[in-house]
Amino acid sequence: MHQTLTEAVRAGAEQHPDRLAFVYLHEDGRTMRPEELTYAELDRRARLIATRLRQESLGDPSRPVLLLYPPTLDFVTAFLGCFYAGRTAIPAPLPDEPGERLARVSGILRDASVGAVLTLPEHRQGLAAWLAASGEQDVVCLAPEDDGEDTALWFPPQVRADDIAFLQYSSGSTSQPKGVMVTHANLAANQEAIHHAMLTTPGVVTGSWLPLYHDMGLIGMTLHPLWMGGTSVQMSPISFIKQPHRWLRMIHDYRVEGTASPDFGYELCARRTTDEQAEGLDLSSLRVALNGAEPVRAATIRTFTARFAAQGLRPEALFPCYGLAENTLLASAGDTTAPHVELAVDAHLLEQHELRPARPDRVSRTLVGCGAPAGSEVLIVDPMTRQALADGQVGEIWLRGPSVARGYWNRPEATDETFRAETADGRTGYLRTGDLGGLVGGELFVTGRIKEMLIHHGRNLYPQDIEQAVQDSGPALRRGGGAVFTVGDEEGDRSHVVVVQEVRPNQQGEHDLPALAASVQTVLSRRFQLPAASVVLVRPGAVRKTTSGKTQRTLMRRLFLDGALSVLHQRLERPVAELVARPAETPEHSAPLAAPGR
Amino acid sequence: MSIAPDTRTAIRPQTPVLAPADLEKWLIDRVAFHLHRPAREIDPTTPLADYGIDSVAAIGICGEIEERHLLAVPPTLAYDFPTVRAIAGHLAELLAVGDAGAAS
Repeated sequence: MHQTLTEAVRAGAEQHPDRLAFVYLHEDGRTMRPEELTYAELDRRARLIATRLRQESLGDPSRPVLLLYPPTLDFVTAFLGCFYAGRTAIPAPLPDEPGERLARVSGILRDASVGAVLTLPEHRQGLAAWLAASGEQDVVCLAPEDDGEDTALWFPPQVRADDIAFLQYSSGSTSQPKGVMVTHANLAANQEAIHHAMLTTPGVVTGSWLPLYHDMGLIGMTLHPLWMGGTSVQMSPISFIKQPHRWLRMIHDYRVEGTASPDFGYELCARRTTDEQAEGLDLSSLRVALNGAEPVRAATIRTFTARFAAQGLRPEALFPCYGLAENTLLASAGDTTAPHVELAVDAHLLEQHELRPARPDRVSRTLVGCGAPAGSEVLIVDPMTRQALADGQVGEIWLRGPSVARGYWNRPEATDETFRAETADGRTGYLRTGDLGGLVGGELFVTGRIKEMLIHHGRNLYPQDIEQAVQDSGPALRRGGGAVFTVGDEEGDRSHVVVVQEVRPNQQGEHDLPALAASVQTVLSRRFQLPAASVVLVRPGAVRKTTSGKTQRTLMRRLFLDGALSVLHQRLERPVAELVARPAETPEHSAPLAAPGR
Repeated sequence: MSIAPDTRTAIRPQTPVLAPADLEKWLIDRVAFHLHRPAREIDPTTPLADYGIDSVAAIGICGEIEERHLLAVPPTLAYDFPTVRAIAGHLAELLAVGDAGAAS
């Protein structure tokens, strides 16, 4: 087993210099043009970048290096270059457009006290101007030109196991980005956990369209094959979403053994791939298709498996897993040789934090198991009392083990709260994931996010269940166009449920909006015993989603409280109405426009 | 190299260019598919934003245009040309330019 990624790549360059480390598929008309990189070349370019970093970087070498690259092989060589130089890397997407992404990268720049930015020569000038405009004159912007020299000057870095290898900024809010500190030891431990869970062999070939700079795409699909001396084949998310069959073609062409995607990717691929596109494909090489990063739906697994059975897809290949950046990546995973586990549970008892078998006379909900703990200890804990819970009970998922990251960069309080949790009976050193779930016979079932969960009279209510019930209640209420959350003052003992729901345009004329809002309240009261919930009706498209289609409930909550939603009609409880910001009132302490008359 | 691709996406015979009215019909059909709605619900003059189009659907529609008409369009197409009619008009122009270029 290697100690660091640098060792793994150096070993690869020595043992199989001509083997491909990376293949990046670029769109080129109707075909995909491969850009290839061998181990020898990856090693040479990483040495070159490391040497430049050492020569040209000013100031404190403990300050991290921000990588701003388009999704190409240059990102990979620069990331490795940071490892080769013993510098902490921060992978991030190149801000190619103004707006959200630039705001995000600016937030990272400030939060991480970045020492240098690495990019391609064609982006250097623009980024240097941006750095100057951000008041970061001491941040050097490097775009190493490949002149084929300098690599002999490289010497291996002196790194300790608990040095920070890279900061993983999770897709949290733009204003408060939090960088997860992943050490060399964390990375090694999680690579071994992935290896044991996926049963990957030396020289494994993985293929993916996930973003290179983010956890599942980075740790699982980019670094894991490198760790195993294998080959990583990649393309951009846009190439995939435009024509999802390209993913299958990649698996066929390169005999891909392992891939990964959130649930929506499998659904999109099964729905959009035509028979003509699927014809002649051989997917039998695929042993492991990880499904994670968002709730795993049993229907998606069945649909995808059935859709491509004729192409040789193994039914057990689809492989639910659970992980998060705070645990480097993987925390639990299913069995590569057995079908996934489904559990139909009693929906009412689930609200009482219990995972109990469904009964024919009661409403049920089907959960997909995320497998057994992989290299981390999993403990289910009551988030209020911090009591450890028994098998079959739902609580917060706590993790402990060598993959748990060191904390959040420059945030000691948030680090203590999240990474140093202690149970009521004094067990220490746990990571609080903020996710809810339970263990049944060693299988982990993830049921929701704690921050999004609504606790009403001691019951766990899941926002997705309420959203679906609302949308099922009438054709005017747009499917997938709802966001349910709670509001309440920080120390308030009462929380209030708010439903934001899109209304479909009506050809026949305006809807009776007050009646529609009242009908939503009736659903909440009858189905969920939630009297007097607040209902906000909005136009289609007003409910924000991530690019992967996840409802952004936290963002919707903030927009609601800021008074930033364009509302068609609303019925708000009085305490809720008092929490919503009034639009643009002149503050009393504002300066007068003109000097007072003499 | 042992894992070099053994096949490539085959280039199929180019499909005939559609007349503007057929182009709009084709686009309505594809937009409806991506928005999970019946085609009769898609009005060519209603902004796609009103149907709650998201980035996955917008990029998917671009992919279909590229595949069917061999036109490279930016992922922002559905925002630059916000209705089916506007997109169809833009595509008709691009296709006409392509034809003229090929003829000269």
